[in-house]
Amino acid sequence: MRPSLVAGAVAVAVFAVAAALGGLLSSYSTGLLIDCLIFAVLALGLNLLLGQTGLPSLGHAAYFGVGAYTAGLVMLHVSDSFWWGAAAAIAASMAVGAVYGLLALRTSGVYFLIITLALGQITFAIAFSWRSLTGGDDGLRGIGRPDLGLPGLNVDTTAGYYLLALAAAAAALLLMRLIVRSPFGEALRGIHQNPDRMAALGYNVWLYKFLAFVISAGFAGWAGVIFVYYKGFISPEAVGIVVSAEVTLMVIVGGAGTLIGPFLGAFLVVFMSHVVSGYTDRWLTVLGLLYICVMLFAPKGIVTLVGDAWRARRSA
Amino acid sequence: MSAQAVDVDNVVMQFGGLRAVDGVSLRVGVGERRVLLGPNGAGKTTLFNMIGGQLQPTSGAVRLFGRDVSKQNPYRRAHDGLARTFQITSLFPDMTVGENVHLAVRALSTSRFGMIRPAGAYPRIAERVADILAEWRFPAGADTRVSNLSYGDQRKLELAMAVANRPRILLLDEPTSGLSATETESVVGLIKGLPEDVTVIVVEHDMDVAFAVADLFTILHNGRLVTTGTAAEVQANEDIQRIYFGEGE
Repeated sequence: MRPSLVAGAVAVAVFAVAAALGGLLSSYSTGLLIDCLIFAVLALGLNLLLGQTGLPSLGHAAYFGVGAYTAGLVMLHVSDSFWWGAAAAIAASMAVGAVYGLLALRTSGVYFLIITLALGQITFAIAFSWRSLTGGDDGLRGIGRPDLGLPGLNVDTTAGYYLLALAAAAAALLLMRLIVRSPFGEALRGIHQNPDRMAALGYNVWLYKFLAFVISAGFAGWAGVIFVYYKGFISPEAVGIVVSAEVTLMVIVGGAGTLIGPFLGAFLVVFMSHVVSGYTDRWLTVLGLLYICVMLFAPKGIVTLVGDAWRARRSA
Repeated sequence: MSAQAVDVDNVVMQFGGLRAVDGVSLRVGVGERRVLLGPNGAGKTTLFNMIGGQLQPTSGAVRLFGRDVSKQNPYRRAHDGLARTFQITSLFPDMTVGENVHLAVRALSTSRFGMIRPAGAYPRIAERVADILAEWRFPAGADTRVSNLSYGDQRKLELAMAVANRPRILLLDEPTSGLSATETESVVGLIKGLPEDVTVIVVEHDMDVAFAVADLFTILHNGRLVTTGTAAEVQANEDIQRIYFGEGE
């Protein structure tokens, strides 16, 4: 049996079990899983830049936030249709990603990191101070659950919404799998390793980076949609540096450049944050320690570490 | 009227206080094989980078087949039929030999922006990659990671990737540096075996290689073009002897 078929079968089984879990777990645990799925989609999007293309964006909460605010505003002022809200949110995230990408891609390396951080903070400042649109530091409140227009799926309950989040994450994962395996994804990996050679071969390196930036922002916006309809509110905190930093860690801890790594990294970090918060307020300290441990013992992330160990055992 | 394949017109490259290339003009006809000679720091690689597009000249112009490309990105020049290798091996070290060749073949294909179909599901590209791998025969196999490849095979892979899309102009920056005598011989054979209409410019330190692959030789020194001549002229010219071989102070 081909390895890709095995992987596909495993993925289907995992999602089937995950879907069944929704009905069995407590509402609190289900909520936690929804959080994991939302951040998994966000991390998946960031990984296209950070892992595949080697562009360390430290402002990804911006596109997440733009998606969440847009979906929230559509719900409050225009329509309660999930699809209109999602389409508007993804379009807005990608548009902001395109503008920020134009600015950030004039730089590279650590300057790229700093300018994406700065653009993220500008977005945070806008969310904070444009009261008439965003509600300022009160945020947007009273955003209801959307209408999917699909009979039989009631997303008003946590268990029902969990199925929506699971389907959204599965769709994102499938789409990302297509992208990273396509000629486009292959070119991004080439650009990561040797941009000068790629240019000499005939690849428009800038355009690839720009498209990766915009697509990545679109995934972040999709995560924002699932987030805002679940929480029912959105405040500037979700756009801030802490979220950007957490997502970056999820990608690195799970395994930057792998498909499933960011997904697992998101589950690990979200679960740990919930568990640790039960004992201490120093979650950020623990997050820092986790990061140091990964850098020391599995610098390429957990998925890569396990994969290498498995291959080593097979060939031994 | 047939245009020159490469027409470098009075180019200057200024790096801060250093004038690396100082008013060089160079015309290379279609199908010509030219070697650039000169001691280290003569400006050979800088000149190469201006022809390849890695650098834009401070002043002067670079024309390929009569068209001014001075401000054009390297990738645009690749689409115009220019390919090159680098002095320091420049590959994709974490990919396999096959994947490296694949990226080279894909570079000029319209499917290079494809986002839906898997990269391996393009039969014509897969076929061309297989042809190149069969033609160049890497003993370690196509699935070997490039970082595990011997230095000689890495240089060979550079060449294979440069000619993968049948370029009209080929720039080779010290293709035999660090190679054994046998490997050097095989690279010379490969260069001589290129189709006749391919214009080839080579930076080369090994005089035996230089005389084997080219008919005309251009000597650079301190960023200036000293002369262009045949093998006999180069060997007989005392100025060149002094500059290039450092004889008689």
